[in-house]
Amino acid sequence: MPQINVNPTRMELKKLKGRLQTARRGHKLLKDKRDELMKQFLEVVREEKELRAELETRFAGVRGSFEVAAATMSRPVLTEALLLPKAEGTLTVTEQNVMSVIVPRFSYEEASRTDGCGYGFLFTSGELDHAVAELSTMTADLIRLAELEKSAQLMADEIEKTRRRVNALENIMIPQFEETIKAISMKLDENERGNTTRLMKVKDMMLEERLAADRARATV
Amino acid sequence: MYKIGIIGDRATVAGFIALGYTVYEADDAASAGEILETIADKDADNGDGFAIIFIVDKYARELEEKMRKYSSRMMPAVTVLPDAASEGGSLSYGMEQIKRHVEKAVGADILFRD
Repeated sequence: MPQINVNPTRMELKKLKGRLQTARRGHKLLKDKRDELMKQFLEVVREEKELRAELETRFAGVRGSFEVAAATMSRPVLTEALLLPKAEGTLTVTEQNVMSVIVPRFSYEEASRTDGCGYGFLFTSGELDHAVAELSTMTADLIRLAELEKSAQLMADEIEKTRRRVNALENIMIPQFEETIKAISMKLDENERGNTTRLMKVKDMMLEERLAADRARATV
Repeated sequence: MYKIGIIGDRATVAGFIALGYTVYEADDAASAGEILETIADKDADNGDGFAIIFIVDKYARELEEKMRKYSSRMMPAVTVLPDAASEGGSLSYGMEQIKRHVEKAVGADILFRD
């Protein structure tokens, strides 16, 4: 891992140590975030898969009933029968914060109607009643499915982002800091040793000069 | 009040009129895509737009790119209607999407492998 190009000074060393500490802390936090998000994501996705599989089977039944109804009734009658909504519910949306991912929570309140459907029974086939009744029981699940799918989508994005950040910190930034800190302290140590040697050398030279002077005085 | 929209062929979506969904009939994927783009942002600002838009499986399959535009937004939640069954090895488009999300997040498919 190449080190960062900085001056090998104590100042830089201190700065880098600070950054390394921050990076380590950030790395730990992001890793925890990723793990927790992943746990919640898997729960959401498992529920979504089960719900979708169940709805797919139920939908096949509705489609069958509906096709029979369409075959036994004339098209204008069918269209007319379906023209009036049976019940118009209200959909409210709230936000939920899951590990800093904002996901929607849909809640559907069905307006209660006493009579079963919005059309008369006289000209319509019983299959249609079946289809519409089954569809209306599916509404809550369909809305839940949409909610789960949106959550899964948003969480998958966030997990990917967080994973990239964790990897960048773990494999690039932290090793880079460590490498640079090591290089700087080695350089500083080297300077220190150089300095000591120079001092020793100077001391030797001074001693030698002194000895030479003493010797000269003695011979006089 | 938020609305629920549904885009699809007549045979599949007609029943939803009776449930109070806002139904858009489309004869092919291209027109379904156009409808999606027109309604997705409609009235979104005054809290009167579509919170959920369902698209029938067979059209959604061809509208991947257009649907992706809305994937990072909280609303509308563009969802594949569970109107196609997954049998054996072939998954419905909705199931494929789940699989793709798992692959994206986990790095490998851990839900559908048998």
